[in-house]
Amino acid sequence: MSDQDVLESNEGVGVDEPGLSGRLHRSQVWRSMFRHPQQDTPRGRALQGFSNFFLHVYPVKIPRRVLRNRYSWRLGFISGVLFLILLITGLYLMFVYTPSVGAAYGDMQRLKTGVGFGQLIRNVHRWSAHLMVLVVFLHMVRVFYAGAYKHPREFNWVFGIMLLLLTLAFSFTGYLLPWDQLAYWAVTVGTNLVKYVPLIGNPTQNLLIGGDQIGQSTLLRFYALHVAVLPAALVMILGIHIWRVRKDGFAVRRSNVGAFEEDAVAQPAAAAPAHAAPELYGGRVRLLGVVDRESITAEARPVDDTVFTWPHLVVRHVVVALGTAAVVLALGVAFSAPLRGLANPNVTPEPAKAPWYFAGLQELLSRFDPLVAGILIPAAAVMAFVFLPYLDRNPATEARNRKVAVTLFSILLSLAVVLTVVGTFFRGPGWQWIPPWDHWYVEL
Amino acid sequence: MPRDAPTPPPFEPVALQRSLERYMVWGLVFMLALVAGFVAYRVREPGLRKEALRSQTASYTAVGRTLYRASCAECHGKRAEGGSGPTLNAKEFLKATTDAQMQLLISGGVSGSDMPAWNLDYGGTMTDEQVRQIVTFLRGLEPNAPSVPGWRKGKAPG
Ligand code: HEC
Ligand code: HEM
Repeated sequence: MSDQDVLESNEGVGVDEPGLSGRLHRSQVWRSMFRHPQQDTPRGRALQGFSNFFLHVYPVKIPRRVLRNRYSWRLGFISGVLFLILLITGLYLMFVYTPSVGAAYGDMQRLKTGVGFGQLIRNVHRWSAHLMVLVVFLHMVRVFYAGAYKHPREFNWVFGIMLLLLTLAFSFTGYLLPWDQLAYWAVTVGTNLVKYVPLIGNPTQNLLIGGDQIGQSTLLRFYALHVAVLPAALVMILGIHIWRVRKDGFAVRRSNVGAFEEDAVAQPAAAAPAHAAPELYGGRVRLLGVVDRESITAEARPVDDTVFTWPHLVVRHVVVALGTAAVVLALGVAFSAPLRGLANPNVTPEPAKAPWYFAGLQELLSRFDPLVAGILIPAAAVMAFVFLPYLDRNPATEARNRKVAVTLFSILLSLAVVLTVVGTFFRGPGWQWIPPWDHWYVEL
Repeated sequence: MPRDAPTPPPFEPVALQRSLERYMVWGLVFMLALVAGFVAYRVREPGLRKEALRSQTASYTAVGRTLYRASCAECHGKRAEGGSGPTLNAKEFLKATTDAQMQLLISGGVSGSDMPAWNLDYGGTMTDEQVRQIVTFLRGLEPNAPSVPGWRKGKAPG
């Protein structure tokens, strides 16, 4: 029987299931939505994966190591969940918000005083945005330390860098929208960095903010970028990113020595072929004529250590997503997003700080020539990251076999963290050194 | 799966099933936390709103007073007691005019009179929000406003 026949027949569709759930599973409406058998057998699960859109986004089976949190910490997945939360909360905010200097600030106040759940949704949107910048960055850090950018994943790392830059652009354009003093001055400080580029700096900055001062035209173009251009770009690149993760077999396979040594010993025993869908591999059910077995299980391996994606990975993902949502909701209930006074170009707050993820840059600027600190160093850092997988040709993934790369990256990472922490927590008016326990100048 | 259906033979290690169940328990905990979060906010919302409204009114009144002094006092009087324009600090006027009406009057002006349009949308100099601030300021006068039956005439200079 072909797959199509199985899907069309009544076999396994709860024929002998008594009671209400049986009737539900046999009903036309149910079967029009879920065309697969309900049987909890290897074949049932495989067909569930192939005939259900949401499960089809995943492969039918995955290497068992993908279930381990310790490998990816699910940071990429959590980034995606945060993005989804931002899309949903952002849509809600769009209905209340007008991108005009006359109305934007009042709309922010109306969220507080008159829109049901308005302030909560704004809080969740803001905390998710900050968290997303952090989590995407941590995702990149773990991809580095896992050596997961190496062949064949080089170009997916490059897509990753694009996603990081898009995430920053998202956060930065969103920062202006409340049109309060915090927004106005953070974006003023941020966009002034562009001026330091020789020759084209000034025109570029004017192009970016639509004039030589931040005003209505800046607000409108930041809004358009924030709600239309950036989401479209991010969704497209994210689609490719995740598709490639799937095609490349999810997690990097470790050699039998090194950090994951125990896997090599533990796995064959845990995944004897008897567990692994005999019908599937016996050839009785050909899942898709065009898909060879290699890409179903994604990777050649000596023993079959795969498990069914449904339910094992899908349930874990749903739970991680719920956990992420619970955390940002708790943050939203506990802490209100800030709203300072109406934007005023004539009153410069002290200190005028860029958003925290650019505070490291601002700190650099206070120490070095603006051209070096504001342009050359960041540009060199981005370029170095883009080309990393092509420069680092060492195929090893264990830290002890790639000491140079790990050491260099760790030094750069520590520098970036120290600069960001100093810029965010230890700087006060006039960029003076003021420890956070003397005065707290941090604003998110 | 109904209870009397034949249990399919296990084809996965027991440990895998057990760790899945642990995840499901966490999933349940998170779902409850999500519901609790919304309930907690809903309970706090009225108080938060009242507080936000109070501080908004205070700051709008202050800004509105400044704007009024700068733009309106020359015709309507320093304390809105009237001048070449009508008395605005009058029970009769404030009682009869809603916030929305006042917003509209100030935004669009009164054509055929000396009262100009103030909103940027109608060629004025003020944003919606600034007009709203002036309205908040004028509304704040209402509790202590004297009765001025002839408020429309304003006050002849001198
Ligand atoms: C050049 C003088 C002038 C200035 C400046 C001016 N007004 Fe007027 N305003 C008038 C006159 C005159 C009227 C009466 C129009 C009529 O009904 O014929 C008026 C009418 C009004 C009314 C309507 C009263 C009613 O119900 O008829 C309001 C409200 C008002 N002004 C508010 C303001 C505010 C607020 C400002 C400052 C932003 C302002 N005006 C500035 C001259 C002025
Ligand atoms: C919007 C931001 C991003 C999202 C939503 C995202 C999402 C994901 C997801 C869901 C995975 C699957 C594995 C996991 O959960 O970790 C993944 C893997 C990966 N990501 Fe990202 N990512 C983002 C940004 C980045 C960045 C900034 C980089 C690095 C520069 C990067 C590089 C990679 C690589 C190389 C993999 C494959 C790792 C492997 O197979 O082990 N991604 N990403």
